[in-house]
Amino acid sequence: MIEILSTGPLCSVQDAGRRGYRKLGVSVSGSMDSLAFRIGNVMLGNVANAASIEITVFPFRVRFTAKTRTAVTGAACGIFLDEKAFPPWWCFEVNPGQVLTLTPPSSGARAYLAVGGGIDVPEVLGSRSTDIKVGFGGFEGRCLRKGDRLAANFVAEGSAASGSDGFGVVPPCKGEFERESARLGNADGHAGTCARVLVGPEYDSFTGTSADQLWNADWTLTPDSNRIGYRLDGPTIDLKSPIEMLSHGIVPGVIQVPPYGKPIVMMLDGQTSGGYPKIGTVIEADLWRLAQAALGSKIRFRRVEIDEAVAASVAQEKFIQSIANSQWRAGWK
Amino acid sequence: MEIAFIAELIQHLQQSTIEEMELRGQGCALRLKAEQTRPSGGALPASKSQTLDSDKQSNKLVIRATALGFFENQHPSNEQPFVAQGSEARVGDIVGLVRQGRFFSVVRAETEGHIGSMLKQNGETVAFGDVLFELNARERSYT
Amino acid sequence: MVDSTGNCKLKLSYLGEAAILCESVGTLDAGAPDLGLQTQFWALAEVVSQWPAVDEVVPGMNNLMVVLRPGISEPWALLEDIRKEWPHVAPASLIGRVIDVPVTYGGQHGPDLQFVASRAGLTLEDAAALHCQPDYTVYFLGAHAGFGYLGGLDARLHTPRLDKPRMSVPAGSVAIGGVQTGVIALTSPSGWKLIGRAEESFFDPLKEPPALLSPGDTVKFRINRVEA
Repeated sequence: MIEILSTGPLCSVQDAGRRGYRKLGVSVSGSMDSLAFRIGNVMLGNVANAASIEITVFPFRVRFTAKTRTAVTGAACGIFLDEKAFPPWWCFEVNPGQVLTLTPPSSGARAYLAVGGGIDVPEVLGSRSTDIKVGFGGFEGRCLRKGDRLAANFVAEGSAASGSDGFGVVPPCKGEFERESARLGNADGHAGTCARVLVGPEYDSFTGTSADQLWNADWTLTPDSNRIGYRLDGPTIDLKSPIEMLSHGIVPGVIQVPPYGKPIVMMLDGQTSGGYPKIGTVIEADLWRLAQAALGSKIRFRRVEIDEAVAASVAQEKFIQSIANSQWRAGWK
Repeated sequence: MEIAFIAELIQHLQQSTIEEMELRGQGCALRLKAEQTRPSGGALPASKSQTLDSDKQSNKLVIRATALGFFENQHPSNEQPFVAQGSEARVGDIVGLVRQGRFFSVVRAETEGHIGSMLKQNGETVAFGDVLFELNARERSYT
Repeated sequence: MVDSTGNCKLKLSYLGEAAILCESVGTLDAGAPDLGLQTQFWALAEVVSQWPAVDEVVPGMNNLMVVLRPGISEPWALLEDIRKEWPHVAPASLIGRVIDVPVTYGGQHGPDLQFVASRAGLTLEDAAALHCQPDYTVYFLGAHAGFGYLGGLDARLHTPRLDKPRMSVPAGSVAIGGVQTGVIALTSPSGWKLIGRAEESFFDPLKEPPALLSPGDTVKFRINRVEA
């Protein structure tokens, strides 16, 4: 169905993630930008958890060997079907033999290629996500390589109502969702990424200066950052006095501070347990923003309380549902 | 001499005032000559006056909205608009979007030319068929 | 701090809007892990895992992380429910499975056994025997898939971690890190001291269950042989 013609490293099959096995030490994995991942499937009329390809390095090129539909969301990469260009966040028909090329994005870091019916790989521990660290799930438990052939579940039903030019959706970075985000306190007005953070259980064990720096510094996403964790550079974060912590469960978004004093934001392939003090947790609703932060870019944190964090999650869910429920998209059957 | 090279050469010539050129080399010769397909002067047939003006040097072509909605000349994720005044549009190029609620449809150039007038502002309501752009084209064929 | 029912007071915190961490007050500084307290957290995990608002429960060392189902709009209600439940939690009885683990100690599979033995003033054989002697309790799984944190290591075998971790340690390595021992379930980097190798597979995603160990299980190491 899809033949990989050209790919960089770190492109893998991902779905919404692997839940239910954290207590066995199994990471959640899944699409780092869960919002882009979900909207791609909504655009295609797929089930919510249909597996897609997460692309981190560009250019990325595939050949379709069957008639199907595809959607590209996430980073604003160039989208070319043979020679024909499409705008970002677009869904369109493809025919056998056509080559899709995704070129380096003007903004964002990760793109999601969804296909009609989803990528067909076996479920392992309830998910089609690739656990790259351990080496199972997804396509043969590894990142994609040139020559790989992936199957999809789509059965062509005839031409789409919208024609071969397809349609696009207004991406989350602009429009009503962004205005909603601003109302909820995510000030993304300056260059870089702003993520909302709940204070962590050990927040009060850090010095007042360190706490201030968490909120006021422009943190740099160092090149050591990946799906396991984001290592940030910036001012040193200090405890009032050293703490020896017992191992405890953690989730993606937890900001750990090891003894050397630079924060690490745990991401989807991170360990399920940690032993460092936690100064805060990036709210789940903003993890997609971090997923789209390019290496070397700046990140700022904004403090919120639990009610605002929940409101952000609810708003995001509504945003996705409003696309799913639209009559326009329903015509694309 | 490769076909792709000749095609590219023709494209450059179409944008110039050169009427004829000849290339020799590598055991072959190529001669390109501009040929006007319309009269170079005088009034044009009345039936064409809606889409072609009477300017003897250029023809005006248009790109129309493909849907009802709000015209947007730039994708929200991109820094630059799709086209600007003077940019060259080839057949199939994206020149804008029409937004309905959360959705976009794409507007592509169906003829080629240079963007002349941009008749709708970003965010303006457009109806199906509204003229968005006027293009300047010099129609030539080459032998 | 202990409340009227004899339970330690619970400290509850949010880890984002997606999870709640339950710890007992006063254990911010790690002492030796408390098995009695661990059984209370196992019992809490068992109760809470049945609640509709809860997706997963993840025991830690004397703590418990509760992962909320997506879409829960009032996590504070769940937090209060956990707080109310805690005084009623009776420690879970320690009925897990008994897992027998034969180990080849020392040699190329256990390059640090000599160091551990010398430090304790023991021969290789005696050090191996001392490692096998306790019945170890699996407190919880974490660090990597299938890795069980085992409590009960004899104090004479407590050994600090390596200054510089090894880049790649084979799956099945029996290791000591500080006061803990465990079996490395996946080939991965590790700073623990390696004393032997177990042939059992501790994690296979295609098996049911995928992990050999579960919290509450008892691990009995057995000498297969001791190599110099």
